[in-house]
Amino acid sequence: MSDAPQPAPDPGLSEQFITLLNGAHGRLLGFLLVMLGNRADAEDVLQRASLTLWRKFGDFTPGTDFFAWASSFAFYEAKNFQRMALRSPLHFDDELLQRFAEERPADLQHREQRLAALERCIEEVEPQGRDLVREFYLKNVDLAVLAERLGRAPQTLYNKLNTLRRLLADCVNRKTAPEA
Amino acid sequence: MNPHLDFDSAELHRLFMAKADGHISAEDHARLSMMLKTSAEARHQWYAFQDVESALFSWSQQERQRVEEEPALTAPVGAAPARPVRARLTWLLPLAALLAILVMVVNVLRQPAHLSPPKVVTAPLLDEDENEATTTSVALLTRGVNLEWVDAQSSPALNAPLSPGWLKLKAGIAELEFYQGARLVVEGPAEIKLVSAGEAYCVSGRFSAHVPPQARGFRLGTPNGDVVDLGTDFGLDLNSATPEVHVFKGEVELHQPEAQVRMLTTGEAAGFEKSTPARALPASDVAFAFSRDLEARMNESQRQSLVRWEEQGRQWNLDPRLKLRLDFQDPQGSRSLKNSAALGQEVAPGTIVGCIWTQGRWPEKKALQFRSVSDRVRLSLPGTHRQVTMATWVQLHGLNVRQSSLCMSQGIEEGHMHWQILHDGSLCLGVGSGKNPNVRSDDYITPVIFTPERFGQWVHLAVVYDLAGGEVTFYLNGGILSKHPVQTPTELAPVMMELGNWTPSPDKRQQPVRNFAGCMDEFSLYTAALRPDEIRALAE
Repeated sequence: MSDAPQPAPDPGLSEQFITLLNGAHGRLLGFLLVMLGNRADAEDVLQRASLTLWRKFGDFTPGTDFFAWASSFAFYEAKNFQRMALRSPLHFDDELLQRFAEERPADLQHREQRLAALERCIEEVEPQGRDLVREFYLKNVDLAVLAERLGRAPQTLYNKLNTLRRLLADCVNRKTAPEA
Repeated sequence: MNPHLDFDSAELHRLFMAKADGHISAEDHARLSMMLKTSAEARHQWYAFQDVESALFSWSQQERQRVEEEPALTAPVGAAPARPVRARLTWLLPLAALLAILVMVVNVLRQPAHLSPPKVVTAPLLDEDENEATTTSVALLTRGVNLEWVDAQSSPALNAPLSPGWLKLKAGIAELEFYQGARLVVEGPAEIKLVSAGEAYCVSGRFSAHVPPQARGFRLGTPNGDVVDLGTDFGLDLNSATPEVHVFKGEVELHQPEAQVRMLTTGEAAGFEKSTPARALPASDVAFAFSRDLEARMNESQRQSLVRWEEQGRQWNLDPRLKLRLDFQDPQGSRSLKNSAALGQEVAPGTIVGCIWTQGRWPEKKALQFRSVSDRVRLSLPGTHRQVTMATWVQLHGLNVRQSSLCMSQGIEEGHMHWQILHDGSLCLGVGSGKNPNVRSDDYITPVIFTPERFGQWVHLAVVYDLAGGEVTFYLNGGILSKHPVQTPTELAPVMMELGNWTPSPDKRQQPVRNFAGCMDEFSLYTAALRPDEIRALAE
């Protein structure tokens, strides 16, 4: 092969798009997570929204806030997704979604700090606890299966995991709180 | 318990987790919705909770990578096969196809915020492990003399991997090594498009190719037809009036549209025009002498670079703002690094612990290699400073630990500074703020710069901490990488510092590993904020 497999879009434009999308990816995901509550759904919605964003990219004014532009599409994509989704019958209503859409963009300025703080917090967890956390987040493993492998009651394991998550969240809040 | 919260925060957190894990009951969901609607503090907690969830997910991914690299150190809880997270996203394939095209035009994907998994544009990698590092590169720029590129902005660095795409050389000689083994020396002006690890297409330029047996079939396309190499040395001249192919050893095939494939063997040459079939000529290597001169010219060019650097260094040393300059040109085997700063009397020489002396940016330039967990250079900087600039030349070999120290104060106290590379390849300056025992680290984190393709390249890094300007600025190879407003205005008091390592506190028995894996051949510290043009000069 000596040429692109298909007539490619204007390379300058697509490069610009990828750079902007990459730059906003974490925040867009963070934006969607609070609306949808779980990572799998947030990722699905973001992927769908990415396609819309690319189609509409011609309307984007370079130099303006890409995240602000993109998040409005993500917001509608999230609402749509909830309407269509059968697998999570329980979801936040539009009033709450609207509230999140208003507040979360400003709150995302703390995101990076929280991510950095977690790294330090998790070092304080003993190795067994870290292994449990890793297994849970990495594989989305069914806790019942994991518990069976470890010869422990699923509820015990889940409780332990959740205690750790609670401790870690508190630790992050402590580390990122404004000067006491 | 949070005083602003009129309900149990443990209960709130339980609801968060049930919601995130997808097994929340209808009643609980109604309660959670109500709490979130009525309490701003509950919403704030929910936002933070989701960020922590994201962070835990990213951490787990990185942890898996680390564990797989060091299987002996940590045994995983169980050995169930990972559920292929992306398997159910098959409807994404149209997007995958679209993004696959987009990816081809992007050489360096800048990663989003710190900790985000390296995978925004993972769609083309659906079949692969989503955590696996991948590369699109097909060749390497191994040597170059007097290179001038048409687009100076996107000029590749020496030892830089090259992805498919155009290389446009105004002048100079470049040596490319293709991953399948062919070596191509190019004399500018030349336009060449890298197609794959075994194919290139060229419009202009002089080319001298060496194709070892394992690279047989190396194809060099031109507008007039293709040269397919069957294991040989040959030259292709597209800059003469009529294009010519000269075979010095072995065999090549000439493929021209609407003509029979022609074979040329040792000592044969052919004119190679569009309209007429190839004409027979005697082979001559006169036009390709440039490829033999490469070695000598490379040495000369490196010698000149070193001389220029030494001259500049003498000027830099006189700068009154300079407190510490380690040029790493100490006698072979030396166990300390002299401070060349003219006015840096109060800063003692650096003490080398471990480390290996090796070659730096040029053959005559020395460097220290940091490899084991004990390797470090101990330094101390007295006083407190409102402005600090640090600059260094480093060659990173890998990122196997969570944080790799460039220059870090011992311990964490107010005013301490921790300049480091994070495991995801971003840079971080941590500044200790607040009073003991509530010291925390204000972290300033850049976008990701150290992707595996940058490993092994010499890069210039600088950071400027400027309380007067209220800004922290990071530089990469002399250009601004990122700017950050100062979080808590804190004067820097680095005291004891280490290059390439970190000692959290001297008396602690368990020390986290923060060692840098790579080489360093220059380090400077100014107690002032250098301007962007001054940083650029340091990086030239």
